Amino acid sequence: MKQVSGLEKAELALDDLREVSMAVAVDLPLASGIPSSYVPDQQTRLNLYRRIADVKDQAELDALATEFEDRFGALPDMVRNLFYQMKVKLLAQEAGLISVGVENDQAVFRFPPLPESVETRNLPPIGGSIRAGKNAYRMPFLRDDPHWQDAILEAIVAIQAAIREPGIEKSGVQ
Amino acid sequence: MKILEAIRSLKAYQRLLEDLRAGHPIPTGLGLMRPARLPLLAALWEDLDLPLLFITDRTDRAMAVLDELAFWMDRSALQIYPEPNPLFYEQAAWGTVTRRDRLNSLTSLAVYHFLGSPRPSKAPLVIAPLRAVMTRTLPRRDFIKNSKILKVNQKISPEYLQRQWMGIGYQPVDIVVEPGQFAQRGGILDIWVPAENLPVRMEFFGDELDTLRRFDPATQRTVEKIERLLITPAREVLPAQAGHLNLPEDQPADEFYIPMVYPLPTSILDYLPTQSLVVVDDLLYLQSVGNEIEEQSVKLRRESIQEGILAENFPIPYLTWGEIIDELNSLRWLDLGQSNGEEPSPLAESFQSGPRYGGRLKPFFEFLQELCRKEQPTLIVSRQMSRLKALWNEQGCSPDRIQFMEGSLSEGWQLKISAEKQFYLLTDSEIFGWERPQPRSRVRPVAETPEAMYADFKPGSWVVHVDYGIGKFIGLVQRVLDGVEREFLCIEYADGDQLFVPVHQADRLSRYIGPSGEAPTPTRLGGNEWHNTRQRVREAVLEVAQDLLDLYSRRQVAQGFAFSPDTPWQHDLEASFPYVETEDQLKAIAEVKRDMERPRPMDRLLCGDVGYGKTEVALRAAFKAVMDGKQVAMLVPTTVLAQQHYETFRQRLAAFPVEVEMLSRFRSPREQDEIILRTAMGEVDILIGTHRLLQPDVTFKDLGLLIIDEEQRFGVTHKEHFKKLRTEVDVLTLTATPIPRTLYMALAGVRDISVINTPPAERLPVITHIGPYSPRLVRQAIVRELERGGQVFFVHNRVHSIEAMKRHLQKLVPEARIGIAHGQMDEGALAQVMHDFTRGKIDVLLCTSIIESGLDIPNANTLIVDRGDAFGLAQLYQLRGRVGRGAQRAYAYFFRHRRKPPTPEGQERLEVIAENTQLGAGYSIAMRDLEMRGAGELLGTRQHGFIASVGFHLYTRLLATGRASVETG
Repeated sequence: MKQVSGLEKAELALDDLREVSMAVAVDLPLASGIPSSYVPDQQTRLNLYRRIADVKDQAELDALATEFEDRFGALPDMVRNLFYQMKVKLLAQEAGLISVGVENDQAVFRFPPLPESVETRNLPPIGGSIRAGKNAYRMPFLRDDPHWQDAILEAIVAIQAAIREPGIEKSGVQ
Repeated sequence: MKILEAIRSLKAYQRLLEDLRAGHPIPTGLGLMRPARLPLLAALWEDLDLPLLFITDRTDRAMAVLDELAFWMDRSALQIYPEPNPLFYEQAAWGTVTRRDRLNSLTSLAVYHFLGSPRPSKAPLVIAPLRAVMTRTLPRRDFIKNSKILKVNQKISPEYLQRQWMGIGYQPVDIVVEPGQFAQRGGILDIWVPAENLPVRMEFFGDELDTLRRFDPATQRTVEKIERLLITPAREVLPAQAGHLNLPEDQPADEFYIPMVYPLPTSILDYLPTQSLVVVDDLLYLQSVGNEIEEQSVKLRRESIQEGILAENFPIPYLTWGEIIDELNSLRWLDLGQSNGEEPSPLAESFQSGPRYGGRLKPFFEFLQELCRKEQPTLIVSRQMSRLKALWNEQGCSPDRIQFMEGSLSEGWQLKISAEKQFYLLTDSEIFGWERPQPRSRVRPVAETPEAMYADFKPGSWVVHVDYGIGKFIGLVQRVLDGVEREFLCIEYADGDQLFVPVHQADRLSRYIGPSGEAPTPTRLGGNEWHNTRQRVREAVLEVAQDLLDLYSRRQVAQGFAFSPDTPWQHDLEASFPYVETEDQLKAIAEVKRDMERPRPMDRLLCGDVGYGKTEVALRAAFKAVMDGKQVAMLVPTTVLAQQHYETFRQRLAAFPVEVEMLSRFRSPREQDEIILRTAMGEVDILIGTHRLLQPDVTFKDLGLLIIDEEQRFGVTHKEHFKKLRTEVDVLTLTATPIPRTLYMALAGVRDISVINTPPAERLPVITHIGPYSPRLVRQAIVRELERGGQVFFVHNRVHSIEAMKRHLQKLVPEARIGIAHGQMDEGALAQVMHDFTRGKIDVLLCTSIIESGLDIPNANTLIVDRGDAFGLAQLYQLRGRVGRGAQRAYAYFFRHRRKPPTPEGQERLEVIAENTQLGAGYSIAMRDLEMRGAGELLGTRQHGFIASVGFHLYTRLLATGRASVETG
């Protein structure tokens, strides 16, 4: 009964129909946002926030950054950070994570909560400084490390690769 | 032979051209027939290469000229100089489009007066109705003095520039989306010069202009870099020069004040360079129109002074006819009409009307054969060009001797080139007898920002958070957490609890839209309330999805009738459609036919606003069914609509042996009996009617297609009836309710849907007036409409005082026949009133908002709305959509309470509607609300409670998920 009659199949995949999935929380020590000195009007800022949050993939995000530069001038740090935050969110979404945050000198990459009956997600090891826990990956986090932003992105990519590996794919909840 | 060449080969034309070039005196009136004037004008423009001003009597003619001239000459040289919407002495908004077009025209002429400025590569041809020419404008000297050229690398302070721009009428905004606006962000300035097609962005480095680049207002992205920009005034009255008026701060000087700011009366005629030519469509006619305008203005002036809304010494805001003639005489001008009252000129005598065929193609092609044999040069310009050409190619006579061109002209002619030689121009008027050429659509210079679709909520709006429920959006707030500054969206829930949503999660929020427009109850944070609500809705949508799928699978296995491919008659019928089908319409027609040709019974929903051409789709489907010997039933919710469809079908099918009948209360019992009998015997091919059609005594001999108009307006029992029919015969359902794209997609696959989104060729904009209730204006509006033989809608949305309102109106306009219509009347009485109104037995329909959708009465062209500020924006648009459907200029008056000031929101809504643009955030948000509400209707009243509990956005998302799980599960 998967028939799609009459209408273009491609249209069905439209984002408006995305499942009501869980929200990804990104909580990193970065000042982010659109300063009023950059976009003075509050309503415009609100609309822009909603537009950024609605971005579906990296290409769209890059295009938006270019558009910002064209319209409002060079990106201030806070806006740059906002785009970074979105990039983390998009990657985390793909990897099936529910949050990316910092807890006591550790970056934590958490999956959706497990049902009560389930003890562990049996996450596959990744190696390097990333350790697998019951329902999350962790890695050391140093605020002063100038490269921590890249490290976080790399970690999420590695997590996604690890859990997508054939055979382990179904490892989710056992 | 090219058509303009034919005109150029005339001796009389060559003489005229010589006289014009040499500055010799020219004849006072050429006396040309109307259809010959425009090709002549185009030839003159090309040969003279001078700026031309063409003056017509009224706006309608000017617009038609603009469309038709585009066929004869380079469209990019054409300018329209429109008249302002308000009458002289009326203080109301001019409108963005009017302003832009007028300033465009003025600029195209003013550049000839700039020293050292390069001449445009093409001379402009400006088309202006007389009242536009009479309207006083900014003196040319001030226009030029206040125009400045900006160049890249120029040293200039951005602050100084902004002050200057305000002084010449530009408005500071946050994002530039309309001509006449500018915006500043840091070192960036955006400006939209009215004479430019695109706005321009300038980036400064300190006080140096670093770059100049055009950008697309819709994406706000750069399109191209430029080196220089001419900045011309954005208004015809410059705020910098209006200081002495001492207007209040919030009321900037608008064009109403032109005569007070500029004592010397100036018109567009002053902008014409010495080397130019004014062409007058028809001087005698113009004169009578000019006098009429003056009389009306004198009267309005007197009334306004009496009423105390106009100062007694207010200067005259226009040039009188006498002054216009004086001005014309100081310029070179030519009248194409018959102002000399003598013998027609030799040029005029060369043209004659062509033969007429009224759609009889056989004699038409015989005539073409004859022309072909005699080798007479012939050009055919038609909207049905490809079809005519195909038919002609079958005729045998060397096909390429006759030239075919796609186009829409009002009329053709034959032109005598020599004793034996005639040039024939044949148009749809001669061939088919179609009178009105298709107006072309115009691009409106108002854009939506890329954020427009996100502009639907602001502080104070009700919003839905997918995970937390319904709350009120408070605004953006900054919070410092862990020494890091961040911004949040703050939402207030029940008991004043607040939720802070990080900006990167803003996509969890959507505006709350319920089915009724009433305020929702906020959710309680913490606890299971929201979770349970969502669960309930999830179960409800599963049921909906299951129902749809059941019907769908029943239909999959059902066997119906497979109709044959199109017959030649089908092609004839379709070719006789006097408009060009929109793309959506063609797609819908193709989809319907494909469904019909399949053995599986069709069940297609066709969505499109009133006037978008659904009936034509239904008509073609019906005809196709009849061609296979099947009968067609068309069910409509009201008698009035039955009558409307009946007339359309009869008219369109007149040339074919198809029996169309109607069953409704307007048929006597004897007539009804007869129609029922003939239907049962199979003598009636198409039967149109109300629910009367569903009564057991109505039987069909061989029903093949059922068309249901506005299904949601039928009762539950009727709908059950339809459900059964759906698995037996082909069913086409029409609805004027717009359907949101998201819902359309959630239903795609289980419900076949065709959508017609393209409006038909643009109608004349409705002249919209807003202000406090004025009995004088009401009387004036009604009398003006009745004088031209039209009818009036008067909306008064309170049933309890509607009788009192009737007495008030009757006293104001004793000569008008007034009828009342509201939803609490019994159906019979209501149908009777509506019938009388469509039949013209009533002049003024005093009604509640029941008229807001579906009604199409082309003769009603004035709408008056009492307490307009109490309506929502979407409703206001729908109400105004009732008028302006015919060829007549339509008027809409939205009054607020005489003394009570409106709420700020109410006033804002009225202002949006008065702006008269179909674009912009306000409009699209209103339309989206409307769609959402319509979707509720489509899903049935049982779903309303569920929709209300989570809002439409979330409901459709859940429906899509539900459907997917039913399908896989």
